[in-house]
Amino acid sequence: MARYDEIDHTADTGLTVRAATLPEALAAAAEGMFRLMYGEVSATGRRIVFTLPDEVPADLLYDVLAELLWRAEADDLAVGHVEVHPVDDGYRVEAAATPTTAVELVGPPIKAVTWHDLVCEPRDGDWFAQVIFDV
Amino acid sequence: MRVPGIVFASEALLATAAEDRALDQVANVAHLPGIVEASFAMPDIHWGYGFPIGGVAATAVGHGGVVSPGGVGFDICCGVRLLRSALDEAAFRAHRERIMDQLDLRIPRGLGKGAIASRALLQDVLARGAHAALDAGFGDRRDLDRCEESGRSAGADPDAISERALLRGGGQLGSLGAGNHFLEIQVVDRILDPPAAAAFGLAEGMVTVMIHCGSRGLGHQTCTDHLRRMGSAMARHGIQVPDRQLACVPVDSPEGGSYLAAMAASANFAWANRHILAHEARAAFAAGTRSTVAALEMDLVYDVAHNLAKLETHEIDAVPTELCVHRKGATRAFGPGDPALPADLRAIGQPVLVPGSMGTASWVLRGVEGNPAFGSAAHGAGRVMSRKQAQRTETGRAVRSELEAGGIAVRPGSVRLLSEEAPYAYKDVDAVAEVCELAGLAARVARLRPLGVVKG
Repeated sequence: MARYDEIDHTADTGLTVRAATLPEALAAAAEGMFRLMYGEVSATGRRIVFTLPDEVPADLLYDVLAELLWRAEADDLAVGHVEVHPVDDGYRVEAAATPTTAVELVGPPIKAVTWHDLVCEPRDGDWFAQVIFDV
Repeated sequence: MRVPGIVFASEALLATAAEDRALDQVANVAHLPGIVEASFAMPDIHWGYGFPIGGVAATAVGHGGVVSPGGVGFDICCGVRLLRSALDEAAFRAHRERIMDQLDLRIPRGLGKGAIASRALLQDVLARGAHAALDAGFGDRRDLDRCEESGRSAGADPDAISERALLRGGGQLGSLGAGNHFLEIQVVDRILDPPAAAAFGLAEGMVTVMIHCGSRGLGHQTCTDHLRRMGSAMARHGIQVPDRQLACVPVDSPEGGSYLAAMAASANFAWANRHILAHEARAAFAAGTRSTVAALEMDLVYDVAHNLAKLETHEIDAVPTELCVHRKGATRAFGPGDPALPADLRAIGQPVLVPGSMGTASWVLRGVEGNPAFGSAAHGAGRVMSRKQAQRTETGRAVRSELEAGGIAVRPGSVRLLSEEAPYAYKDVDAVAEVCELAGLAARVARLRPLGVVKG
């Protein structure tokens, strides 16, 4: 089962993820990013769906998170459950979402995904991911 | 490292800086191609990403010097605006709740919350900054005289702003944002430099209003877009950096020019944003005191950016040299005589605004001759603990109660998140201001004590 842990960062925030597969790690990181902001989101009614080309894992992690963050803020959405599926030459991301008016901000508002200390790699039989966010 | 790292700090502030990875970041910045003199760190330095918060680095244009969006930050042209007034503390307290209610109504805040959504105004703002906001009916012409860059960054190209940035942040013009952004009502608590205070329009006992915000989602997305682009372009330019967040290209490359044009347009959004919020603050005070904007004399003292890259000429080995000066969580602080300053302040030096945390002081300083860091100074108090630690220390409700018990009215965007911005999460701003003076970065002029705060 994928899990994420919050990183203690002085000015910003971040998380680490452990998951059995790369798609699960990407999905856990995406869910974790929104949980840092909104806590558990019972997202209903809206969906965010997009496909990204295959990249080296760290760049893929960045692209998944940055794309979700942009789409969510552009449409005033908070994201709950996320799934990532391999497709031809890339990955399909499907996220359940809800308007931000239906949720409360419980953590720092994330402005951007940073490249600082960005990691996404196989480690000790799992996939490990680490990302710092600008708040 | 191509140059040394130089940290301006007392022993106590340096000890705090050494507790996280800020000093590693000072060292990393020293690897930037074309960097000159040093990788500087201001007294409020703390761990950022790529650059430390409080980092200053200048690169030589045309000599391989680079521009790095990480040296500006995601919140392009985040900065601080300070208004003076004809009110004293007693007059504010007599009308406090009505003023705070009016500010609550008129100052949009929170994540993604927008105010003005006109695309036509947005395009004009991206091109002309606060000048466009003035022509749209906001603020006063005199505001432009007391704003860094006169409220309009040169070289802006609205077409360099991506459609994604426009969609994300275009509807947020005239809003405070969230996190550590705020509008604070203060009283001038102490004057240390009477002639400078008089020139700035400040007097002991005067109520002031300070606004801290930036370019919202438009700036955040602009930085994101260009970091990605530069990350791909670096190999073509033969550049390697120790941290991917330091992605950079030569200033005079197509990618560098594109970024600077987009950065300037985003900066124009921020100048206009603070200009509009000041207009709304004036209206709130007028309604709250049942007076008029004219009678309140809420003139602009100054507006400074603390996340920006500027093309400036400084002497390197006695030779005037064009530099790209990155200030990331650092404020421009030009000294007396600088032609960039408004005529009525040129003899005194540029106002430098250093906000503290809620519940503590803020400072007004002035630029001085011989500043050792390309005319730069601190931008705030600097954090000493993570937001998670801050939340574990006290609840938002407890922080609010303490502030209100201390006579400070609080209108938070989120009560729960108030603890993240509590005074105990920040360095001692009095110490930061003192070290700025001791280090020859800027001289203290006036100390401001908070009376009320509207939090993002």
